[in-house]
Amino acid sequence: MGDARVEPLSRFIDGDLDKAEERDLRARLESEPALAAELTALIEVRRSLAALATRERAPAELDTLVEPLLRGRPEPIAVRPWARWLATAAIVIVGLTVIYEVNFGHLALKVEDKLPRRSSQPVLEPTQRFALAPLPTSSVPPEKQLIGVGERLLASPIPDVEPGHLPALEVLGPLEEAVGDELSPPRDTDAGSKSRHEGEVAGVSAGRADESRAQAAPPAPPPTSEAKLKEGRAKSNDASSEGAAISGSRLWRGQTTIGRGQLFIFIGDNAAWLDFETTALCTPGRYAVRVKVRDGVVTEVWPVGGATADKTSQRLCASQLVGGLTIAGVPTGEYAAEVVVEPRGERK
Amino acid sequence: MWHTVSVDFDQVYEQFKLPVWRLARRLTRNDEEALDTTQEIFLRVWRGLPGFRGEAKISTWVFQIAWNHLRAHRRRMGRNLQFISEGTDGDRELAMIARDPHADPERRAASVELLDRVEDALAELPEHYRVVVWLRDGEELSYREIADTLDLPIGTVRSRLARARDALRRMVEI
Repeated sequence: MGDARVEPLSRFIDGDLDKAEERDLRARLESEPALAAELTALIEVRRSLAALATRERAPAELDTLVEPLLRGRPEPIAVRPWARWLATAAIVIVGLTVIYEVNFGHLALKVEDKLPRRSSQPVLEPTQRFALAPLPTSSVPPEKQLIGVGERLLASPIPDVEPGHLPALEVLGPLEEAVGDELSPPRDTDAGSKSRHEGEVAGVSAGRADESRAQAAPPAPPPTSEAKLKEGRAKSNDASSEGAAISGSRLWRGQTTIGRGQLFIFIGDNAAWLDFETTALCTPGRYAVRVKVRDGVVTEVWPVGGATADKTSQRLCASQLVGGLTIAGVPTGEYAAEVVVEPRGERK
Repeated sequence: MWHTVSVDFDQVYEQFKLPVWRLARRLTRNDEEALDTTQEIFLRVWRGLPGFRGEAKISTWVFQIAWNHLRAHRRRMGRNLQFISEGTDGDRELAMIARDPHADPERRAASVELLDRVEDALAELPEHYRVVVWLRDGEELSYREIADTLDLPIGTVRSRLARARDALRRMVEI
C-alpha cells in the first residue's frame, strides 16, 4: 500500500483529516471493500499497540534506583550574581577549613598512628585529598553538578593516585569468568528481610557500628585478598544457615545481577564482609573503588574507572552496600579499596 | 528574566516512570539496558526540573529528555541489543481480561497471540518508525507532541506513522 493510499487511512484513525478529506475517504471506503479491510487492519494494529502499553509494569527495582533522587529536593538553579559570589566564598572557606583540619585538626594523624607497626600489618596513611562538590548555585552546568546522595554516586572519579604500599587493583568491573565452579546458588530463605551480618576477616573486625557484631574469630590472616575472600565466604556460611549446601552450582553461570549475596571489601590488609539483600541490581564481580573512612566507618564510596563506573546501577549498588560498613583498623582518611560482590552460597 | 514553574519531581516520576520505562524498553530492546537508561533519564529530569519553564508540556519535555538520552545511549553502545520479551502469560491474560472482560477464551487467546506478534514486529521496525508509532499508539501523544519531542516536521510524523502502521499490519498479517 503506497503512502498516498495508507496515509489518509492512518490520519482518519487519529481524526486528523479535515472535513472534506474525511468525506472523500468515507465515499471511497463504501465503494472499495479492500480499502475498508485495510482500515480495519490498521485499527487493529493501533489497538494492539495500546494493549501492549497496558500490560507492562515498571520493574520494582526502578523505584529503588531512583529513590535517592526522591529524597533530595533540588532548589531552582537560576543563577544569580550574588549567588556566584556566595558560592565562591563558601568554597574558599571550606577549602581553608579542610587545610586546617588536615594539618591541625582531628584528621591529622594521631600519635599512635605514627608508632611503628608489625611488618605484617603496615600502617595505612590517608591520602588526605578531598573532592569538593560545587554548590547548587555555582557556575558549573546543571548537568554536571553534584547532587545530594547522587553526589557520592555520580562524582567524577578522583584522580587515581594509589598510596605506595597498597596493592594495585588489576581488575575493573565484573569478572568475566563464571563463579559457579566454586559456588552454589543461594537458598531462597528469609525472603523479605534484609540481612546484614558483620564478621571478622583476616583478624580484622568488621561490621556496622550500630549493629551487633556477629561470629567468632576466623583463622589467621592469609596473604592475599583472594585467600581472605575465601576465608570470609567460608566463615559467612559457617555462621549462618543461609548458605546451606545446594547442588547445581553452574546455575550461576550467565546470571548477571543479584539481589542478595555477599560483599567483601579490602583496604590494604584490612577487610570486612557482609551478607546483603537489596532490591538494587548488583552484578557479581570485583570492583575498584575509593572510599572515605571516618572513625572506622566507610562514609563515602566512588567507583574508579572501568566499565563499572559507567553503570549507574552498580554505582548505586556499591554505595548502598559499602557505605556505613565498619572496617576496624583503618584510620580516618581516603583509600583505594577493592570490593568483591558474589552470590551467597557455599563452596562445594 | 528567569521564570520557573514549580513542578514536584515525585509527581513527575510517578506520572512518567511507566511511559519512560516502556519507551526505553521499546528502543533498547533489552530489559537491563532499559532499567539503567530509565534511571539515567530520571536523573536528567531531576537535574533539569528546577529550570523547567513550562514552555512545553511536561510530557513533551520528559519524552524529549528520554529520546535524546536513548539516542545517545544507542550511539554509545554502537550495536543493536537483543530483544528480551518480558511478562508472564498470566500478566498478558490479566491485561486482556481487564481490557475485554466479556471476551470468550478462544478470542482472548487469539488476542494474546496477536499482541505477541505485534510486539515482535514492533521490535523489528527501524527505530525512527518504531518511536513514532509507539509514542502515538502506545503513549497516545498527539502529532504535535511527537513532532516536538522528536524535533521533526509534523508532516514527517504523519508519513512515518502511516508507514509504520502499514508495516506492522503486513508483518503480523492482520
